[in-house]
Amino acid sequence: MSNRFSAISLGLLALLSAEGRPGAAELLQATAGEQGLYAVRIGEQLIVRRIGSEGTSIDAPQSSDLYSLRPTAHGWVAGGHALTDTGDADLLLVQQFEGQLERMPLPDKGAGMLRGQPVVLVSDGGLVGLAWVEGDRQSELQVWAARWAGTEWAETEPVSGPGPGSQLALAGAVLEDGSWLLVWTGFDGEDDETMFSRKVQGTWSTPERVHGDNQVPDITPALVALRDGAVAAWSWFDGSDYRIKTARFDGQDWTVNEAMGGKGSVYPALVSTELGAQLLFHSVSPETWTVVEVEATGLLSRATSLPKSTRSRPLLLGPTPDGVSFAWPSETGIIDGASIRYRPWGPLR
Amino acid sequence: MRLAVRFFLRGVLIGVFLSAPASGQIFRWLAFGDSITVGWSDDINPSGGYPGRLEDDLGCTPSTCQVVEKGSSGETTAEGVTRIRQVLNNSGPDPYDVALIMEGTNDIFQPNNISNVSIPTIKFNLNQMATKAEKAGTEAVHASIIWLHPGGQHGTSRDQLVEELRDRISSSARNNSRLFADPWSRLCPDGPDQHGHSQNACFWNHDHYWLNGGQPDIVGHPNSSGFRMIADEFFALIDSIPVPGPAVPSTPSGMINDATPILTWTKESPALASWYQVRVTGPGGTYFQTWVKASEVCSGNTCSTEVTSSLDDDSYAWQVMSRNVRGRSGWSSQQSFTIGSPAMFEDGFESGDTSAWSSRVQ
Repeated sequence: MSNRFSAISLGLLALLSAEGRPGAAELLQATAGEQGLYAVRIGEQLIVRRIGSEGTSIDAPQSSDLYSLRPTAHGWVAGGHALTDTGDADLLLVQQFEGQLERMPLPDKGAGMLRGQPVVLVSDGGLVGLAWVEGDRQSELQVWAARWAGTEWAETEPVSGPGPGSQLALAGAVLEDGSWLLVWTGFDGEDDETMFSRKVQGTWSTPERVHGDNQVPDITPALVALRDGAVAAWSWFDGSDYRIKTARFDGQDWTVNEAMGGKGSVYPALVSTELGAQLLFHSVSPETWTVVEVEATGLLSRATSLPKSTRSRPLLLGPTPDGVSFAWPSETGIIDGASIRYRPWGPLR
Repeated sequence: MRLAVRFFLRGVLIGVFLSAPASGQIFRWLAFGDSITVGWSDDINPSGGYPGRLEDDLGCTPSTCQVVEKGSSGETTAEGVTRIRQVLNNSGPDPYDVALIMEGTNDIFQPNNISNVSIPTIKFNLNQMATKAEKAGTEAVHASIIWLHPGGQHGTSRDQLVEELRDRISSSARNNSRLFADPWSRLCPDGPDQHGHSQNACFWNHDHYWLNGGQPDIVGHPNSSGFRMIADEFFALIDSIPVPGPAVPSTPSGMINDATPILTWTKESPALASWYQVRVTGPGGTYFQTWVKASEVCSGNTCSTEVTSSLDDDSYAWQVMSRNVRGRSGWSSQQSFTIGSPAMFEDGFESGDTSAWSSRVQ
């Protein structure tokens, strides 16, 4: 295992502002709360840090980025992509273990020339697996996974076989019972659907839709494990606009909730909290950031919205009994008090 | 017995109708898209981008025409589906004439090396935008997105997607009787190489892309030269089609008894219009006015559309205006018609008033 990164304290690096820059790095948040864990790009560095603590910097030219991030008992583990020595993009897997940043080995490739969107799977405070998409072309991606055996990767496992189109936007989590649950966008020959597969006792289930079959796109799912199950959220086209759909997985079945959010509600993210999770998404009309409180039981209880003044994704500082605070990291990656916006909870609409 | 047959006219024909504003309005192209439409990286004419250049190329003056830039930096097509309706709804009293829709770069370029959104969904979203434009009476023009910078991030796999999206958009435009502009090809002038690998042919063609501090832009924004080429592509498409002449109203004319008549007209010659506007005017002004897509209302040289709002018995005139992406004809000549219920007896016999009758038929 090579260790080509060094841990450094935050420097005064210029923030590559996402404002006016399509595709600029999004903030990636794993957990909210006092020790909330997040990653943000600052220039040629990716900074992974806990709220209120110093961060760890990863050398990351613009051709590198992180896709998933989870806390562990001894630090954190993150998956992304980076250019290899030959100039091709491949997975990037790094962990911080007791303050030391390590680049981890990668599972064997499946059958494709291209792979990405790695989802780190963490259980009992440590990395247990990795899932990713892979194929020769972006329109031919399939879902793969591998188990981390402590010092090396077990054999690569196919999760979804080839489909009539691409399978992408992978998300996943380890449930409390130790099973692995993955969701992704899969093209069914007519339109994109939110698909899932679950690994129980070493066997992946046949991929199925989270929701009923329809003729409109269901895209960009997010997933978070909760007590006794999980919650998924994705964008669904309602015939005129995209809105947010959520579904609760109780360990056996999915229960899909009514759509929520304003018109043009897209790119949901689910952030773990001590008591459950927070669902974050933004809408075009009204132009807002919205946070929905997800209870440990999966019940969507309360929500609040903030007018959107920037395309940059906000950091959720963690819920309080009465509301939630949004923040945008400063040019040095820290939370500047001036950027914090508090909003009280309101009823879920 | 006074027995007279006449058509009962409830209203009085007024010779001077209120004129509709359409005939005097300037012709407007809506440039809808992301930061490339905004002109974000225009290093010579900041924020000018292709819309400003296109407006100059089209010879617009403030009183004749305008290219309205409505880009939104960072926007993906899933967001654009909603925003375009807002833009269309805020077009003023008249719809935009043409919407130039060029979006999808931010769907394909995302921070990770594989897109989160599939090409079929991007195509679906672009088609939704075009459909919304058409519902507003605006002609939709699809456009390919340009190559990501070959030296930028993920050149190989991303540019495969850009090319696949181009093919899908082109096909969708054709299937929906919409025009297709191809900035992709314009910035890749050599086209496919001898091996059929178009990407290789474009790989060295860096001259039209913006450099960020001397480094390749990670997204693939054009520089001023690139914006010039995008404007050239749109201008070539628009200017290749002459402005249509007026069509010729046919029916209805004269007396009719249909409150929702079907307006029928003959295409202009030569037939160049892709859209028509019809309007029905009467004593109170304009009673009905709508834009219709030629491919949906025409068969051969004959076009027709129904007046969907019910007209009272009265006298009306109607006209038709032709339009394509280059401009509009003036209003056609008027065709007049009168809606009325045939009244067989002018003395009110139908209502039971028989006082004017002097004899009975035995």
